[in-house]
Amino acid sequence: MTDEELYNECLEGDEEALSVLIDRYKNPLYAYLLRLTKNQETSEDIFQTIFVKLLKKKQKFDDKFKFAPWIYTMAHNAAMDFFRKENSRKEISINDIISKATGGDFSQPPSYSFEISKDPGPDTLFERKQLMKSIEKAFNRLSDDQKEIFLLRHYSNLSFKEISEIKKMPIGTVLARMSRAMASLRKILEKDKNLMQ
Amino acid sequence: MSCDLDEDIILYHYNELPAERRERLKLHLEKCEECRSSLQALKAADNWLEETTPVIPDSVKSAIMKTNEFRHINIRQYFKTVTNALIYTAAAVSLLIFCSFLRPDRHAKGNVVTAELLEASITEIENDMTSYDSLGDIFTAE
Repeated sequence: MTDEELYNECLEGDEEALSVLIDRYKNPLYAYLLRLTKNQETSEDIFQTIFVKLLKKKQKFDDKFKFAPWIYTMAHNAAMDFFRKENSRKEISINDIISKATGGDFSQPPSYSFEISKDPGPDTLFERKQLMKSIEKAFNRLSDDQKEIFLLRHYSNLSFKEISEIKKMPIGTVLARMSRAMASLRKILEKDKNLMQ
Repeated sequence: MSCDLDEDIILYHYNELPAERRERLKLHLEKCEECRSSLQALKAADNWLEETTPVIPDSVKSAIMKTNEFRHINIRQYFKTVTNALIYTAAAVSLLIFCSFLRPDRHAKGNVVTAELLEASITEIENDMTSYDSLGDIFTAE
């Protein structure tokens, strides 16, 4: 079933439909919120609030309605509200979170927070750790605007046109921010060129 | 960046580049190291995001499933179902009652029964009157 069909079923009280819908979005939407806000509690609260708001809407949607842009618009707005309320954000390194979960042992998978892909990466665990650190460093140096566009594109899988509608800005601006992000990443990663191959 | 193909590289990486520009970019990437590095940077960042995807705790999903909003939807649906069932039942009963009055043979049968009862009553009354007449004759004769 499509997201739209599942949502309409949720409004009929279909528990299974709600469960499927949450499962589809729980990781990408949560990841988007967490990487943006860098606050686990806030991200969980926003995620939960979004779905409660969805259930409060009693009106079913027609064929023109698209669920994904709608839910990511709500997530984007909620994240922006969070930033407005926060004067400063605590910078949390992803590696710090992994360290807390694994006791600093990168040979073991993290216990609760993150899933590490089983895809083949660099030959040794050390190289992989170095690569991840390098990319994380490069990513964290992006401006908030650049990060947000990058994260939204990656996790939502929406087109840049749809993202421009969520952000209420011309698609040219969206692509310009992605270009600057890409250029920043390239410059930083070029220093560790051998790790990228 | 001198090539001025940043947007094309980005759209290409996310499979949004129109076909006519895709081949041109591919040819360019074979010759331009800087553009290849840009594309690799995008891929590396996306791979890193994919490899370190945070997982939301199950408790959040459980909280949503138990939320009052969803319970209210279920309660509303329950009452809606019950109300609909009552309306349909009432409509069916009304239809049956209406149909019962429309059946001609039963109506005629009812009339026949009524007529028979009336006739019996009339006969009884006539008999009574005859008796009263007889009594009158007795008194008159005296």
